[in-house]
Amino acid sequence: MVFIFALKLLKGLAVVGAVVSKGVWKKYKNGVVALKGVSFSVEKGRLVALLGRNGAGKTTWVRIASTQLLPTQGTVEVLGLDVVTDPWEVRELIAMVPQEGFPLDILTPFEFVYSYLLIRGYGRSEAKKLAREHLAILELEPYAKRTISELSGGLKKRVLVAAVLASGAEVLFLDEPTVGLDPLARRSVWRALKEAKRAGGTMLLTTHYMDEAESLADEVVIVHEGQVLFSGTVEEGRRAVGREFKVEVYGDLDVEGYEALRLRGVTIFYVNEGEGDEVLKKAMARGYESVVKPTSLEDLFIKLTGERIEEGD
Amino acid sequence: MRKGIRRQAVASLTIAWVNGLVVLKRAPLWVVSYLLMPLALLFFFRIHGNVAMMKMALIGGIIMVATSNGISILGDAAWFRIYVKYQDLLVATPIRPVSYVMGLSLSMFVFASPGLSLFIALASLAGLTTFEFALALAACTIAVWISSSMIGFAISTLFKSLRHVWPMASILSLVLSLLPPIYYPATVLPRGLQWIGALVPTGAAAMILHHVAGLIEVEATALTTSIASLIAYTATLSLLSSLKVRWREE
Repeated sequence: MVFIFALKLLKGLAVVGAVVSKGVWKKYKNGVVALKGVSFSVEKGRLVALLGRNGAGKTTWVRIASTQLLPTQGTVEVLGLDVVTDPWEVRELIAMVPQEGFPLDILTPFEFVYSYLLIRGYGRSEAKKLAREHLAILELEPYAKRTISELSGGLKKRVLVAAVLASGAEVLFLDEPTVGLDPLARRSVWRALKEAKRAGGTMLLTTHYMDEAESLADEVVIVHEGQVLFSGTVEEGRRAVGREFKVEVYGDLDVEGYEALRLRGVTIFYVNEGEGDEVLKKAMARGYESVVKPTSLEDLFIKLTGERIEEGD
Repeated sequence: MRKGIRRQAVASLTIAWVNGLVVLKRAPLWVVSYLLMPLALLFFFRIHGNVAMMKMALIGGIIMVATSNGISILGDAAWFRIYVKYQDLLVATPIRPVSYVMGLSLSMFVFASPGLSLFIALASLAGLTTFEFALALAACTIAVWISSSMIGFAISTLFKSLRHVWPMASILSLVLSLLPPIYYPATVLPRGLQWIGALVPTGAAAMILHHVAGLIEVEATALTTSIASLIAYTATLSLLSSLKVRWREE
């Protein structure tokens, strides 16, 4: 009896994943298998980036987790609720920026965010206050009274992000929220996401921008062809490369004692501090340009898939 | 935070506000576009017909305005689902699919209201002012609006590309407003077959209104069929649309 009580107590104290994906498979009616047993978990208050090329299965997973699509097999739990059996309870707790989504262009940014909050159940005065606050956070105040049709694609995307962040939902799914934004606009979205994270929000962000994942994410999940190839912190990801630096040689080169990786005319050598002199000398002798860089998540992606992420279609 | 039915009602009204009132205010040209056809028909009936034919054109105008606006939900629902992903945004919220469909449908009614007001005012000037007619007109207009918007919504769920949506809305609108006995009396149909006009909601509504306005004397069977058909269409199509909303794909 005491043992059972202790077990229950321990279970209660254990860190419960805000989002837990267990062996999720998705086979579409046309026969395409988009997910092949995707498993990972996200702790409460963490920002996790789902990193992968276009078509890797990121959007399919997000659509399943945000109750828009049924999995073929496996489960996703959001704050302990099953997205298949308890969708209405889950929808109270989540908000989502859809991939390639746009706000309604006949409205002003303020009207769009305000109406979204009213639909979610906020009272009028609170919705107005939250809408103003989040438009300010995303630096949209100067455009608040212009119709969305007059705004650039990047500003439109920020309006959508402002609405979802203003929702105060406990778990946010952001499917490629910065695609098509210029670097400044991307940074404004990043700032807003960092602020939401500080406020305790749990976020799942899909992206194929390595710098975005490295700058924002507490953890990354690398998805490739429907499978999770890596799941861990950004630092763990960098360490998993196994070397501190890489030498990129713009030409075809072989150096004895070094393992080379060839990607579209570039030969990459992974080295530690104090290594790689022979590579640089040989590259110079051949007249090839070469660059030494610290290893990053991109190198982990290359190592795991043999491809660069931005080569995706 | 609002909960329960109140939250759902506010959600529907909010959608009607953003997709109806705001659009009406910022893009009023749409009102002119949907009024052109019924006004043109009214003009020709006034020039070439008698008072009874003009009254028929006024009733036809009301039905056509309600139908064309109801059917145009097809374009909006498909646009929201396929292009701007507004439906996806709303699926991840507590709004129920029924509230979403009701909100879109209400927005169509908001949009139709200037046209309906114009035709109702003209009908009053033409002498269509009895209490029975007002009652029948209100019931039939609401039934036609609900059934046509539900037909539009249900059909919108079948499309995967927007390219085919726009012509479909025009075709359906004209077929439902011109083919059934709306701009012509059901009495021109062979005796014993007048009930055929009641097979579509717009035809059924027109037959009831023509009869109540004293423009035609339809058979009792045809009148009963019209009333039953209109009620059945409104209820069945509302249910069908609620079931057809792809709130979660398989």
